[in-house]
Amino acid sequence: MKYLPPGRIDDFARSSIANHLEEAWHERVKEQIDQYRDLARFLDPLDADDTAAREVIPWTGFPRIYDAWLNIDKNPDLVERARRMNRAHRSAEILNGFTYVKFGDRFFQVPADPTNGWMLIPEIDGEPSFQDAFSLVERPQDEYLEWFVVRDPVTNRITRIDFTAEAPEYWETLAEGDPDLAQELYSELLGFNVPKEDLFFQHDVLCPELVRVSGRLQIVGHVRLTGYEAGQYNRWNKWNTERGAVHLTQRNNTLFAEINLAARATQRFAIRPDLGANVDRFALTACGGYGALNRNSDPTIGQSVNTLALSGFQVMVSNPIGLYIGNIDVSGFRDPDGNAVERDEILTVHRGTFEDEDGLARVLRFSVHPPAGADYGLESCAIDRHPLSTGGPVARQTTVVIHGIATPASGDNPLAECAARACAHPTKDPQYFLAIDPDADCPANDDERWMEAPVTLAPDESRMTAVRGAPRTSGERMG
Amino acid sequence: MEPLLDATDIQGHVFPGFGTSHSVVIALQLRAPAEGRAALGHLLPEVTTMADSLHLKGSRREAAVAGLPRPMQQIPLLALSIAATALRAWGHDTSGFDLSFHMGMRADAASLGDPIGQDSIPVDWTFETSEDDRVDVLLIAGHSERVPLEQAVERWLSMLAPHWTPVLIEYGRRRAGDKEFFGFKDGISQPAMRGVTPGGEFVSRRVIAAEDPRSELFAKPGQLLIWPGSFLFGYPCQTSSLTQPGAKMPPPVPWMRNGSYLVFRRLLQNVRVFREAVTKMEQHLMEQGENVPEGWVSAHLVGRWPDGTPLTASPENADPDISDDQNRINNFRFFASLSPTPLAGGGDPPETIPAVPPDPLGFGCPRASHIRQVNPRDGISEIGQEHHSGKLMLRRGIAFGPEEEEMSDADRGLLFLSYQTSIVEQFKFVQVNWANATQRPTGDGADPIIGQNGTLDNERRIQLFSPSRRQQRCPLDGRWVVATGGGYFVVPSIGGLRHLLHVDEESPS
Repeated sequence: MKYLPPGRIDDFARSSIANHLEEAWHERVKEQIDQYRDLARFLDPLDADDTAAREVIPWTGFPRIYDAWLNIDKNPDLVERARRMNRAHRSAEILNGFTYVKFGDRFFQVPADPTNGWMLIPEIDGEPSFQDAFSLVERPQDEYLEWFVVRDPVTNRITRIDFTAEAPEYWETLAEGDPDLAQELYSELLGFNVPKEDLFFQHDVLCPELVRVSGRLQIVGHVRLTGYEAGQYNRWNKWNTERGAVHLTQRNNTLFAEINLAARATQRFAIRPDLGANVDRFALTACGGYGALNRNSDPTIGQSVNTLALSGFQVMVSNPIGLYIGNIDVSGFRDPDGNAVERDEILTVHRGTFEDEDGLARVLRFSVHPPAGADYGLESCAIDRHPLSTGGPVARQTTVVIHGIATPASGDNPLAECAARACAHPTKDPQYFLAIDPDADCPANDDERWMEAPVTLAPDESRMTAVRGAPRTSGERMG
Repeated sequence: MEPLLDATDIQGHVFPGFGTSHSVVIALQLRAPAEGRAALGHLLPEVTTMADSLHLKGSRREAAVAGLPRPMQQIPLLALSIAATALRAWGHDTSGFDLSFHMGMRADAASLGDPIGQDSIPVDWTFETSEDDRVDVLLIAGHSERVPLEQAVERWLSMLAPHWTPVLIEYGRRRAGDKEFFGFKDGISQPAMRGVTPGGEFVSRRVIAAEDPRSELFAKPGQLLIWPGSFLFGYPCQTSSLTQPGAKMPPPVPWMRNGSYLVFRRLLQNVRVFREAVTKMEQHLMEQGENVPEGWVSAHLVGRWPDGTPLTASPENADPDISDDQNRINNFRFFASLSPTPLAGGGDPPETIPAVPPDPLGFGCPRASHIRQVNPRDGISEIGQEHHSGKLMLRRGIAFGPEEEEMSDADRGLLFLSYQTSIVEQFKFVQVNWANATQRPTGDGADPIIGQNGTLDNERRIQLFSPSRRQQRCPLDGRWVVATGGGYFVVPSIGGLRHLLHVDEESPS
């Protein structure tokens, strides 16, 4: 038995080195799995047979963090809520520029900033080429579902919104094993010819090394970034970020993060459910020290896995391990005339299936688009009254899933200490959390840690003042 | 502090409901806007207020405590609700209302899973299919006796004729043991609305000892307290913190303060098709080597035994000690255990109801079962458990149709009625995102009782743990709950109705 590619996708069969790719993927997953074998309730999915219990773990594909920070549930007024949701949708499509820096003996992913030199530097002919400094970009969509809005270059109409839940590690294995196949697949999925060299780093990459001098960070030199050598696959290449979406890019949206989180959540933590109606999935996430606190996904995965483990099971994610699109509800879709449209006319599944051979949903990629022959773009359509000028309304109606698998366990599951505890923001609804030291007090309501937005936000349209005509300095006044 | 509810303004069917032995639902079509509005205004003095309903409920409880029969009513109880079509006929703009209300239920039918014909009309609907059988107003009435109720209906219809014509008149009644036609006790799990009357009493009686922290969360054990903004405009909303009130739910227009939205669905229940599907599933399980006790499958599709005993609290069999006890019949959670609950009442030691273990995986109560699909309580879902309480509705189901032999295809079922302040976020969310969905709130299949997928054969599968605790995927094909029509309505307060129907010049503050 081998660890299979996500969704049993058969890309490898198209390669002349199919066996090599299959083996490389198996080994890559195995290396991850092997890290967790010491955990008492960890289950190697290859050890599970047909009698194992299965649990679908679902969450909503739109990033919860925008809804929390923008307080979308705080004001029940429908117009105000729709306005905040619209801002969340626009915000979730702002790419994050980032770089790496070395500080102490660790590397950190930080926002790129040309003004202070926090950029990546290609090494050309053995020398850092500062004039070619660059940064990488990732999508901020952090619920293991990312999307890209495709516009017609002439009319600017939105012709398609592509959604993916594909793991970057899989594409890395594929691209580094068979670069031609990677180019072929990119070109097929995006619908135009993608130059192969764009998918790979052309030079070794250096990043700034920082030290603290008089309390301020200063660059003291540049060091080589492992994994970013010439010829290696660039998962943040422009065809997967600025120009399209082939697989996940957000830093935490990785398959191995999912494995890590599911494995660590099998532990018995020193936290007790309260007497109230909630066993708080956020408190559990903070205690477990796994995953990101303000997501929908990680706390849900962690709680589901943890419940299975505490109920006397060995638990893991079933083979083929993957992040999957389990359900897409486009019943609220309305065309520009306000009419509903058949699902099959506007939704196309490109990779994976809703009904895999074991009956489970394992969709990896789909698009929403106007019906064939329509003379309008998606921007003039809506889902549940939200305009489809962004992918957010579809992401809200998309359920992302992983497939848990469990077999009866025996023996003790030792108690693990809490790594942190969750503090809820004094006013946000849905709640916004900070993880703090388990013994520390939560920050006061006016603490500066509550002030800084954790994500980049699009302008609030209600604060944009309409003026009659353009300002005098930039043109004539209109009547 | 819980908000003071305007009990003389809020309609009594919204809260606490009528609870009468006999009921009728009358769907009316407006024939002449101005004259129809005036005629409807004449019914206004008969519309039942929350204060009236609470009083009646109190006297019923007193009679029950004293061991007396249910008191006979003197006058019928009446609720009045209005569709968007009527509001528009009277010159109101409905675009700022709930989107589903504005568009009407027919526009939502495909989303709700009702099979749609080639002419875009739901194939099973028998009313609200066109302008000819459009429903503009819904009257709901109740009485302890059938004959006075019929007399009242006759009188109301003559008051409204010829400006209103009836599209549907459906009488219903409380069935023995409050059981719906599949044989299960219905209407057990209702949220408890927070709020107090002018007399300072909670509108939902609290029974848990004050020193137990659960008394802040539940009225009866397991019956979650919900801020009134979930059901009534102008009151604080439910929030994810449960005990803290949210902002006041703003009415779409000022005259909707103290009002609500009503969802009505006339649901046929085909008992024969249901029994056949249950038998087929039993056979499927037995072919897998399972020993399936009689009644096991249907109880596991519902999530309760026929008498209402929750499977979570009693996985092996019905238990009258639980089902006959209002403090135990709802006392369960799915995710976390419940320790013994002390009751208020001053006993020493206090009377305590027993602990209930959790059932996160659905060994006892399948995750796909009806009660878990429509109310995941503290369990897993795609939206996060902290948001579940905001999806609850006040349900006022009424059984209708003949008492005939089990296997007949009789025209009978349930008049589904629910009150909420957002049709989109409450009723429609629960039906579409949970009941009809195979992957939400859990991935074990659609709701086996009310889930539908828009097709006539309604093929589906559900996954559950068998009697031997092996996980089995079972076919469950067929349509045993079929919507034959319905509508969305506003349920204004008495003051709102007065304004809307031009009963006097005074408008609500």
